[in-house]
Amino acid sequence: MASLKTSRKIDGWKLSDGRLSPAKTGVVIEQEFPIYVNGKLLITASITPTLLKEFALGYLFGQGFINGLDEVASLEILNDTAQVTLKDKRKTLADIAKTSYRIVSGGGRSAYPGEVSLPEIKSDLVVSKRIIYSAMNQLFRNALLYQETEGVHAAGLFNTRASPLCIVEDIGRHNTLDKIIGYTLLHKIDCSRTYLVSTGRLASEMITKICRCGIPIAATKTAVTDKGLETGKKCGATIIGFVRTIGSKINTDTAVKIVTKNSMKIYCGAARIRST
Amino acid sequence: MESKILETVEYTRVDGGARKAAERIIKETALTVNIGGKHYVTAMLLAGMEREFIFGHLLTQGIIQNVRDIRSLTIRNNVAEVALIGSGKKPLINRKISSKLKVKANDILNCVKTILKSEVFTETEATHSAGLFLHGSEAVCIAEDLGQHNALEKLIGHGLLHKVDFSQTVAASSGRQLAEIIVKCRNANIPIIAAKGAPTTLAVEIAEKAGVTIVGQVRGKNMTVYSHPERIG
Repeated sequence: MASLKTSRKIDGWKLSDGRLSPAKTGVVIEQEFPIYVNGKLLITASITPTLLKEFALGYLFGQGFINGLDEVASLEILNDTAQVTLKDKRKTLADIAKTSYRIVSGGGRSAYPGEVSLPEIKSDLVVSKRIIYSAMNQLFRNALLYQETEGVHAAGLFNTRASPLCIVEDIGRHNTLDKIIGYTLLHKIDCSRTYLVSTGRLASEMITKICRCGIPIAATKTAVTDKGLETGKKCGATIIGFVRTIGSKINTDTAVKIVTKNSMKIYCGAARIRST
Repeated sequence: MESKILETVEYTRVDGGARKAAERIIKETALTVNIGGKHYVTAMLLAGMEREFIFGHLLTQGIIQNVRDIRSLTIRNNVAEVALIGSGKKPLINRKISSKLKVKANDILNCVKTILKSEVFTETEATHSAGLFLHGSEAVCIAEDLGQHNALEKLIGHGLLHKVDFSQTVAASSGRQLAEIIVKCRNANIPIIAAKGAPTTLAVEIAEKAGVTIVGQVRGKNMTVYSHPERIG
């Protein structure tokens, strides 16, 4: 059984009054996690060791290596590795031969199959702006690992009553999303009735994964990039940036600002958000 | 004039009510790198310092050890063609930092402060910045990118092209310190990495072994040293 520990106290030194003094400090756990498909190593990810099955599945789906759970014959976690066997072994090997490598805008090296087309999002979901603020507040209230280590991203998937279906913290913003996607696959969640909130930037690969999953609304505390927005528009998604809720803290340069008014910026798909 | 790094978009601003507004957001550029005519990697970058990025990336990946390992590098329409001297992939040397550098805690605070004064960040809140500081005080290069890895690699490429003695430098970053960031510093022989963010357990373990000093959560007058504090005086 894999360890579910997410942080560890280590011996550090803190600067106070111009002097370094020994101090215990909480650090987030990062672990290498290799994913094998049909016995062959596809990629070694670096993750916080929780929701390992969800991560492996979500990664394969989000990157476009599989189109659904029905393509997977078995998925086992063995000695901190994922062993995935697909039903169609030949197809997979051909796909892996075409794998190309990309450095995503967050910086990590990632594997992609040759070509992946994105579906248009089919959802008539409309939610109130209040529900987006509420989800963001819940995300921060639940971000216990961040409070301890300040070294993680968080993402959460919510239903229309603003109840969380899944909240994840991880060292990588992509990892949080991959785990959520894996969770929706394993629990057969109808993503067209959900929305996602995140602490990370919504760059092209993040939006690609969200759209592939059919999640109609994605909101982040931070920024959106041009390519992310382009993909979101093409798929008919609602993309929201800079969700700021009363009382939340914003780190600008070296200062910390406290937000005094709820606000957000809707970059596309504004019809899904009611302003009442 | 059209900017290579910023694009104006319309959006709906929601606070008390809802109204249309416009602003500039950050642009992602796909840079494809071919080595010997074969696709090596495609990187999503903030445009600028592409040449430095490629040199820095190939060094930190252990593909090259110095500028002389590259026979030629041309970049056209965001496609880079790299020709290497020799067989190409060299085994990555699991190096230990060799450096006698010592810097003052106050200098570390200033390095991080310096890189956080970015106009692009102030406007978009979407970029990372990184800086290379000789002896922890003299700024050699400051780079920005969508990703902290890319910003660091741009710095390292700049240092390589300008024959900077990395053993006498501090790298400063606006991001967090993941294991890969420490491995990249180690491979470039940068002894100190100072960042606004925090490290991970794996990053600290690698730094302990490799002799890298990690200073994290550098904010205002505060910082935490996570490994090899002997370099901070």
